[in-house]
Amino acid sequence: MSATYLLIDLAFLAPVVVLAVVATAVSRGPRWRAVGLAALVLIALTAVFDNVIVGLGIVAYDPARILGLRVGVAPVEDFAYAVAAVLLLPLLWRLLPDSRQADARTRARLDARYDAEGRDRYGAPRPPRRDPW
Amino acid sequence: MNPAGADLPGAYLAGLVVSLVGMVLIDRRWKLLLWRDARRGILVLAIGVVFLLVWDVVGVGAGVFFRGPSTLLLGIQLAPEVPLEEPFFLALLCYLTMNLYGALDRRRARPTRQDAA
Repeated sequence: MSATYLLIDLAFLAPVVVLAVVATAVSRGPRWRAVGLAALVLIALTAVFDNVIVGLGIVAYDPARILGLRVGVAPVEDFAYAVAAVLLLPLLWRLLPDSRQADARTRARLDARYDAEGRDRYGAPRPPRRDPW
Repeated sequence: MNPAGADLPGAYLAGLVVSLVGMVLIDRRWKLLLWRDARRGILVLAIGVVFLLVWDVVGVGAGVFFRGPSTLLLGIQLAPEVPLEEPFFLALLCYLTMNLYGALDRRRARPTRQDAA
């Protein structure tokens, strides 16, 4: 029984927490209400899933390197994965540019340029306008 | 053998793949992640899987956890004590996380009536 796994968890989880809090303070962070609700669901599902994979012997732990606190047969340290994911992923989602908006901006820019140059929306020259008379 | 009884190599991977397909269907039906913004969604999932995989490798390196005796695993290893199934599990965790977040983030624009049809 030791804190080896707990310390590894902290090494990965702490930077994620700091990043999420700092991002919220200085620009934009994850939507915390949605993060909180999603975390509750994820923790509950992790308890179920982890008990299944530990119970089936898909993964095993060195008892000398975990705290020994378990939810059923799942070590509590495993829950840090779900907590880190529910902080990091929504944070990335908010910080990364919206590619659909970026596409729309590019399209609008091209449309304006092609229009000014007398080309159609694909960039091909428009046929010369014929005199209707 | 495993505690559940039968030797079914690939059963765990099959379970993960079926669950991932479920995530894709839920995402598509309610436009939660990849159907909101495919490029950004893929990037978020990819970074998440890589981050958690590094965490796994550190845990394995420290001798904290390792492959269990289960015969539900295929037996293919990506690295010592890291089964082929692991990135699938991490992808499922990440996709589930973002589907939940997308569904619970109610401040986002509601889908139009046309989308729902």
